[in-house]
Amino acid sequence: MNATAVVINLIYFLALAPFLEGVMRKVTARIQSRQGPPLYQPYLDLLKLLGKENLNAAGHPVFRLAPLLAFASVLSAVALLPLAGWSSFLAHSSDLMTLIYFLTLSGFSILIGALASGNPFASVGASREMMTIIMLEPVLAMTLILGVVSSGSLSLLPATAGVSATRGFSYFLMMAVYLVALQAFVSRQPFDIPEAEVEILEGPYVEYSGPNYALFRYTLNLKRMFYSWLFVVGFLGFLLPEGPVLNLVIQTGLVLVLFVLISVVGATHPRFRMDQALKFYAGLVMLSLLAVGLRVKGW
Amino acid sequence: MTGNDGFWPGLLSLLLSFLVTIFLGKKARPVRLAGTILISLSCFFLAWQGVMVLGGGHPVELEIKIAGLHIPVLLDGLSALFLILLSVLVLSATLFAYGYYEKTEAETLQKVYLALPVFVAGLVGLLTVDDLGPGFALAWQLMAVSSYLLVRWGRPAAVSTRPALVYLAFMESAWLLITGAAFLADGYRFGDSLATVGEKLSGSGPAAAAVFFGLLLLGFGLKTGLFPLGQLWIPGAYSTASPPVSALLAGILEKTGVFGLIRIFFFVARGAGDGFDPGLWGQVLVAAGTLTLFIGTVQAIKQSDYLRLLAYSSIGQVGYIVFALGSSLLAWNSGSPLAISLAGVIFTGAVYHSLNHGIFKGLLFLTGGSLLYATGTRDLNRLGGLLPVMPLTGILAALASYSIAGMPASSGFVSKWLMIAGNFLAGKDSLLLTLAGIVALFTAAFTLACYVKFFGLAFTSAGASWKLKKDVKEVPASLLVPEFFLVAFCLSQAFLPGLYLRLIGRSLVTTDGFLLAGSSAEIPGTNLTGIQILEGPALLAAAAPLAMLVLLLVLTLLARWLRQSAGAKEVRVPVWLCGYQDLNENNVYADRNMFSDLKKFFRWTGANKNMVVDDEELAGSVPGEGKGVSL
Repeated sequence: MNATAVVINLIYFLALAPFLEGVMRKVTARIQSRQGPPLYQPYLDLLKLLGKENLNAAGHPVFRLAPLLAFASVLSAVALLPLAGWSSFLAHSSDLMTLIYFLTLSGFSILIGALASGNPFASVGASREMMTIIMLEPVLAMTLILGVVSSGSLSLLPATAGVSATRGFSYFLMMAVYLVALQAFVSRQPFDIPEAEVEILEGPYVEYSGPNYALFRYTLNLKRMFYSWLFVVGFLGFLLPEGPVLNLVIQTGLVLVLFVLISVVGATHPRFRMDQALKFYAGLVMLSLLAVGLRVKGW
Repeated sequence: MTGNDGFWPGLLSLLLSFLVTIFLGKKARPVRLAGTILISLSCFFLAWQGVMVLGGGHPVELEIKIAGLHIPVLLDGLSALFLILLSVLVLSATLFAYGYYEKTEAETLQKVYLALPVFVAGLVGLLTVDDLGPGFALAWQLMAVSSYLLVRWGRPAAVSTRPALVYLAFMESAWLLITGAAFLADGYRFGDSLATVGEKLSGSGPAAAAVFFGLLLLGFGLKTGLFPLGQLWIPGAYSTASPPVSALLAGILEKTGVFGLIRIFFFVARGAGDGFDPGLWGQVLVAAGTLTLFIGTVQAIKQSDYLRLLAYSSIGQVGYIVFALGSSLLAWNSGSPLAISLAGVIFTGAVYHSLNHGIFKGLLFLTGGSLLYATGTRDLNRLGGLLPVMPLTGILAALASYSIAGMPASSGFVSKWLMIAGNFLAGKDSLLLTLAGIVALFTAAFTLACYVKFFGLAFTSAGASWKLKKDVKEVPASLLVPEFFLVAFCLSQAFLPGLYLRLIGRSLVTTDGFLLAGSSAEIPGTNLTGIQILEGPALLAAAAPLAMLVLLLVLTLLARWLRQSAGAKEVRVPVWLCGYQDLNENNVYADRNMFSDLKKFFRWTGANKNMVVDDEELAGSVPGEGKGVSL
């Protein structure tokens, strides 16, 4: 494989991620008996934000660096993915731990940017965001480790394929856990606690505006798409055909379906409090530990 | 008996430093100057000795005769490696101390410079002495008593007497456990070399051998800080000693404990033959290590005193090393060829992490020292927004925090990757190893949270401008230079892992009696190619963090281009608080509120008491309620 696979990865995610937000907004609006914005509205929003003034409340480089790093690290994670069953060009120098750490790095950049802004609302948001990362990163890790246990390799292609290699009890348990956690991965209700617009004013992003905020929005969109993509490729990977083009088309379709599901759940559930959510996440972690344990035992 | 040209001059200049300090008495500046020069000199000699052993490829054996006692001294590859780490850390801590002790009164200064060379000599002894009898006792006592005194003199007596005494008590009990355990070997003579102890152990029955290994694990576990033993003395001692000394305590004293564990479980164990059950001890080490790394790191999150935070996090990081040592034993014991070569990878990771942790924890304690020097407080609740005032210290703290959190393209990433990846692949059929690996991976996020808190609330955020009574300035160059020296090592460990892997391989080849001998740890990069850790050339992920850095940089440039694509201008604005008021002392976010729900959730892990007492409060110059805000 050559470097074009990386470019295709990047283009596919960059092009499609805002559209998926459009789907989310449309579905949410329909559930709330509204017309909703057109599906291409998020692209317009990004363009509009890019043309605005960049307000800087902190006056030091960390504040400016944070959105760049958040965007770049989530894109780095995307660049490593085995899209449509091809191994990325970068697979030689990366594996699932690199992927997990890149995702953590992107979360970390959001927090450090929030703390840098000096705004107490942002700090509350940062504190909640970090707690969410701590409690949810293991679910993501354990999903992939399920694949490692089956395939015996830490490379992304065999590890993602390995998740659905044996579809026993551990597979269904982990799938259920991942579906619930997905709502928190993409920070929609009932788990949009770090942002919580009506409570802490979008938390970490309160001081960000203009192009900096556009980058954060884009980061969030990319992340949402990544987590849904991982569900499709990990748990439903065995359904996907061999041919790369057809594979990609079906993948995209399944991701869209998943987004509709996320939007429906998001629009019909009220938000948890942080302490309630922590207990909930702890339950998810325990269940996924159980799933990994079952997989080790061959179930 | 050749090849020890650096060893004696090194020890001699430490002795000289001790004598000169006595001679100079209360003259503050000459004492500092002479101490710094002589201790630094000894570091050069010791590092040279280490390099010579590794370069020559032959262990050096010596025998010291004092008052009828024979002390075997062994300078092999492993000692050489740790000796080099020791020299680097002692050199930077000594240089740092020169600037740090500038305002210390002459009396304390003389005492500190009397204890420091003795402490270093004790550490050198622990790394080189090859027995569990007289030589070990001598080295241990030099180390324990001098570091007790250094802890005791680190802060005013009101707060330092108790932690210092606790420290001494645990060090002495660890010594009793270790020295006493040797008598379990059948026909043991006080003063036998370690290899002899191992051989005699093989003939003394499985029960005696099991008790021997148990006692040594307890003894060295006390020293490295295994849960729950470490919690008893480490936080008190590390946060009481002055920061340059804490850098040595966390950077190298703790590593001599790791060194002891490696010596016992990977060298003496080989001699013990059937008396040593690798399956059992591997499980014990994995369980103890995993528990330690999780509990230690969670406890670190709860601390508002940043020196205590660093101390608890040291416990957590040592947990990683012990976990990896155990996992390596289990992989080796499992018998499949793949797992045996992975045992080498995991072991290499553990040694790599020891070197890494020595460097970045040393650096973190030095930057902590800079913070204390500049602000006079150890309370994160009172700091915030220091990056514009102390930019260089801030960058150094950021780099060290980034490395210890194990983010991609950092030294922590390389070593954690080796340990955890090896563990997963070797242990995919073992429930214990898989679960321990998950906990280790999971704890990385806690480590990150800890250091986001440390860096975020000290250097970014806001608060110090209201809560501190003095003007904060960047620390002088004398404090910054040794920190930059360490950061250079830290970065080289991140970007030249191939070099360090070779160094570790070389040191294991130069060490006789290695349990895993024949497995891949000895020559990493050559016979690891059979391992399918990755597609393509194995170990490249560890050897090519540069590729990841380039990827990240290119995409950052893309993001930068995107941000500028519409020519947006930057405008400086005040912080927005819904338009009702400005940011002030009463509405900044204090450290005690950070992660409050998580802290409550993990109350059961202990160390919940979070009181910070500054030296100036002891003197009574600042009232207690001036600290922080209560929301």
